[in-house]
Amino acid sequence: MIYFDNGASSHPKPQCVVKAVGDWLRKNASNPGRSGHRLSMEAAELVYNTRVALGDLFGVEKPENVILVPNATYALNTVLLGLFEKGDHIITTDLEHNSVLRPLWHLQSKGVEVSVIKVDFEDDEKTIEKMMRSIRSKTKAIVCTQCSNICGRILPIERIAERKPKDVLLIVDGSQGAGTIPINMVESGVDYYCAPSHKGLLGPQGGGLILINNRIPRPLIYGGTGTESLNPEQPLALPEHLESGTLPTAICAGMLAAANYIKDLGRKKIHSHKRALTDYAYDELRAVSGVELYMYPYASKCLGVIPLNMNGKHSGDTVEYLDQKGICTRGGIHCAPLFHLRMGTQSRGMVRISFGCFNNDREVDQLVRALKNLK
Amino acid sequence: MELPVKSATYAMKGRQLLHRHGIRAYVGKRSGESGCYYYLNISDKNFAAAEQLLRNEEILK
Repeated sequence: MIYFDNGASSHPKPQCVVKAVGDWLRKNASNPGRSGHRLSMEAAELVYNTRVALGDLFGVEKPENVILVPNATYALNTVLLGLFEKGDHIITTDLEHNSVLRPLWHLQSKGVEVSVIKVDFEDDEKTIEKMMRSIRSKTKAIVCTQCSNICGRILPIERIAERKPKDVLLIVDGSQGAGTIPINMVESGVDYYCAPSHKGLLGPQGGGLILINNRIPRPLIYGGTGTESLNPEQPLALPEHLESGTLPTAICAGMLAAANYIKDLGRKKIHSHKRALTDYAYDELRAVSGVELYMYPYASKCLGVIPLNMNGKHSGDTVEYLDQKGICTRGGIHCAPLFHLRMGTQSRGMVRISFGCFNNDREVDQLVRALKNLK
Repeated sequence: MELPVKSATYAMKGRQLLHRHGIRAYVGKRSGESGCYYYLNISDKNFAAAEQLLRNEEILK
C-alpha cells in the first residue's frame, strides 16, 4: 500500500512514537496534574517534558507558553474566539482551511469584519502588499496558513511578520508546516502558532498545540485545572488558563517521542526530502496524458502537496481508482473552499497527493504508472 | 520547608530549575484557602537560595 494522504494525517508513525504511547498506557494511566502521588507526578512530569520538547522545536522560551489542546482546529478556535470582538477587523487569505475560515465567519456574524486577500501564487511580495494595503485602524490581526493544505503553497510568514505593524497580531495555522518548515517563535515575530500533533509532527491523533508569544486569549472552555479549586474564576496562569480538563497523557508521550524523533532527524532534512519528492513528482506527472496540474507553474513555491485532476473526471472517481491500485490519496474540497472557488473546481474537487517523510521516488513512479493507465 | 507554586507546570519547571542549580526539591500537592495547590519542598539550608531563584523566574504562587 502506498500512502499519499499525509496532509490529512501522517502514516506510518515512527516506531518510537507507537512504542511510547503503548508503553505509557501500560506503565501509568494516572491523571497528570491532579493528584500528589508518585504516578500522577510522573504523568505531570511527562506532560511538562512534552511542553519543553515542543518548545525547543519551535524556539519557545517558556514551556508554559506551549498549550496542549486536542487538535489544530481547537487551537485556532481558542485563539480566534478568545481574542477578538465586535468592531475588530481581521485579514486572512483564500488559501485557508475551514479551521480558520469557520471561526472567522462565526466572528463575522458577531460583528467582526473579515477581509480575504487573494494569495499571489507567483509573487510573495504582491501577497504581502495586498495584506498591508488591507490594514486599517481597526485591524487587529492577520491570520494565515504557513503552507496550504490543498496546494502546498508556502506563505512568507517571517516577511509578513516583519512588515506588519506591531499592534497587528500574526496568527499562523501551522497544520501543514509544523515538523517540516522550521520556524522560531522568537525570531519570526509570530504571535500565535497553532498545529496538530498528527500531521508533520508525526505524533498521534488527539493532540495539538498553541504556541503563545503575546497576550493570553480568553479560554474556549472552563473547568477543572487541578489548582485553585475553590476559586470560581479560571486560574490566570498559563497553560492551565487554557487547559481545563484532563490532558491525554498517552498522546503526550507520543508527541514527546515524535518531537525528539524530528529533532534527531532534523527539519531541514525532512524539508529537503519533501522538496525533492515534490519536484520529482511534478516532473514525472507532467508526462501523464490528460493530467491537470493546477500548481505546476508555481511548483518551486509549493511543498509536499500536489493537487490534480484527470481527463475531466470527478476527483472522487480518480481517488477510487487509485485506491483500487493500492494508492491512498484524497479527493473533494479538503476543507479549503475558497481555493476551489478560485480554481473553479468546487463541483468535482481535486485529487490531493500529499507526501510524508517516509515516501520515496519509487512510490511516485507507481502513482504515475497508475495514472497513465487510467482510462 | 514548602514553597507554593502556581501550578503543576510551574512545579515541574521550578524543580528542574533548582536541580540545575544543585538544589534538590520534591513536588507535593495539598489544599489551602483557595483550593488545591502544588508546592516545592526544599531543605532548610537551601530554602533562601531556592526561594530567590523561583521568585526571579515568577514560579511562586
